[in-house]
Amino acid sequence: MILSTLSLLLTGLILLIILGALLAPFESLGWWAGWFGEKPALPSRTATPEAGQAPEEHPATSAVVYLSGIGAIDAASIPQEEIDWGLMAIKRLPGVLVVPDVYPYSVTNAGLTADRSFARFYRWIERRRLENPYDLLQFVVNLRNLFQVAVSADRRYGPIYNLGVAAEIIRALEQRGYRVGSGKPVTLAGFSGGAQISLGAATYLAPALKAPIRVISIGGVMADDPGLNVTTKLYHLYGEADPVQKLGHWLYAGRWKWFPQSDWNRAMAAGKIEMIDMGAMAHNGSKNYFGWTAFTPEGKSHAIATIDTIGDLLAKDGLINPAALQAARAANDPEARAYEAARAAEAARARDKQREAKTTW
Amino acid sequence: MVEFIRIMWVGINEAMRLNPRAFEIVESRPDTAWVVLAVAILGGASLLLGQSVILFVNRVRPARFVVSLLLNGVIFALSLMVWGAAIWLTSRVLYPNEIPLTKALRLTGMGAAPYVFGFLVLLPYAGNFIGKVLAVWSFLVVLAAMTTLANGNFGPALVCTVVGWLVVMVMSATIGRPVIYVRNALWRRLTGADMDASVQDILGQFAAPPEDAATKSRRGAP
Repeated sequence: MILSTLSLLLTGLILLIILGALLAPFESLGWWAGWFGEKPALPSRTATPEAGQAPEEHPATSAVVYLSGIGAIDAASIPQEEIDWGLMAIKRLPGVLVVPDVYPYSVTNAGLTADRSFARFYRWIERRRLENPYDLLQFVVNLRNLFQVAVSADRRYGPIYNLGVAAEIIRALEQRGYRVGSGKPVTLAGFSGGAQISLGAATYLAPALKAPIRVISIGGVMADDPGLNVTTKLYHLYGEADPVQKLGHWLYAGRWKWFPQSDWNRAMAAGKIEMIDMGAMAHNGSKNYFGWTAFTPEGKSHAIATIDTIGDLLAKDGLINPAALQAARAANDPEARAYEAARAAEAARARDKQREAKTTW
Repeated sequence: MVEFIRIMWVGINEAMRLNPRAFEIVESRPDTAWVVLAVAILGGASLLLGQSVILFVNRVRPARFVVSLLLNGVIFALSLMVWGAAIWLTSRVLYPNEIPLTKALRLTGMGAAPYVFGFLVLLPYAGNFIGKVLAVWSFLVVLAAMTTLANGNFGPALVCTVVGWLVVMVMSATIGRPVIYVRNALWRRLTGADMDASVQDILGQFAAPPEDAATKSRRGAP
């Protein structure tokens, strides 16, 4: 009886997952076809903002757009550690315009709690996650966004999906004072599935912005995407304790060595892809790339080490003044240390509380 | 109606297992032609649903989207009938027999059975592979049906199925062109969109030619 109920539940769950995967492409396809009312706003190679409409140009010499991992519910509702990481990145990357508010899992930048059929359900999950960052139900969000990554990587749907995200990235850049046509280099920093979407969007960003596009993958799960053909450089930051980032290598045939003419392998042969070993970092949990309570042998928290690696890469490519970078780090270090100590104390308190609860039980 | 759907489902299920009984079950009913036609139309409609990206890219409106699915079902059924006729003709020439044309058409129609799951082609990333599996599966169903028709003689069944398929390919590239033209015109009229454009054709206008980026890299642009 119990076994048959379990098997029924399991079958239902599998069918639900397949249904979710089947419906995944419809959001971007319907958007393109104009089924949901508004006509898609698309990036153009020739469009420039009309006089008087353009915001004042930001003085930064380059821009970094952060695309979050599959745990994001909307541009603002991402795991707290990523939010804190972004705020610290702004302070440690001087002279760079940092854009943290693009939601890469929707072609319209509309988060899951926006005006959608399941908005109430996602708001409920969001509340649960705020109470418990390790709540198991957030797996639903991960799965939903994972299917969108697959849409981005699919050569049938990818062009539409990636075009939509590219349009949203351009809008977010312009809102912060990036002038289209200025030629200022843009770096897309994507975590996990965000790295694949970064590559996909690069195809359309390069001609629309008329600027060099770099991608920094933070434990990214990437396909053999044609976006590599227009990307100036792809840096893949990977942790030795992160098996998830290897999925891209296993799942996407174009990355296998048997296909030397694939976009990925040609980019590798041309030296466009650089692999950066981040040490013992993991994909999830406290030891991930944004962790504040796990430290490298040099004594930096994983979060700061990841920001600094990005800073070093940007400096190497001439996108940050090395002296300014060192100065910004020195100025920010006390704040970073204090923040790390506060997070460590918080984690210790949580552990004590858990131990206490166990003893009482 | 319920019995009709039940027979359809049993036919699809058994045909996909390549079970010769499937063809006996379908053949045992007086309305067998309708059962096969329904399977073929369902298979064609489901396959187009799986490949519907082309409808979306061409911005087909919702009502016409549904019409497109039905139209594709009918076209798919017709194409299977043409294949069935080609197989029958080949068998008459290579292995003289008295098998009626209608029977060959009905059994070839069951080749649509795997395509009832054509909607699975929608699945991101895995869909293309599933589409290929369904195509091979469909061929195997037709081959199994022809083997049944040839009283279990696999060799002649294989020859007729393959040669029949080749005949259809040659015909569609030669004397069948006017028919394809009419089909495409009908398609355009009913769907309101020209289906010749692919995703790459339409979206290519927004993408950079790769040489642009290559030039930039060579210049050493930061």
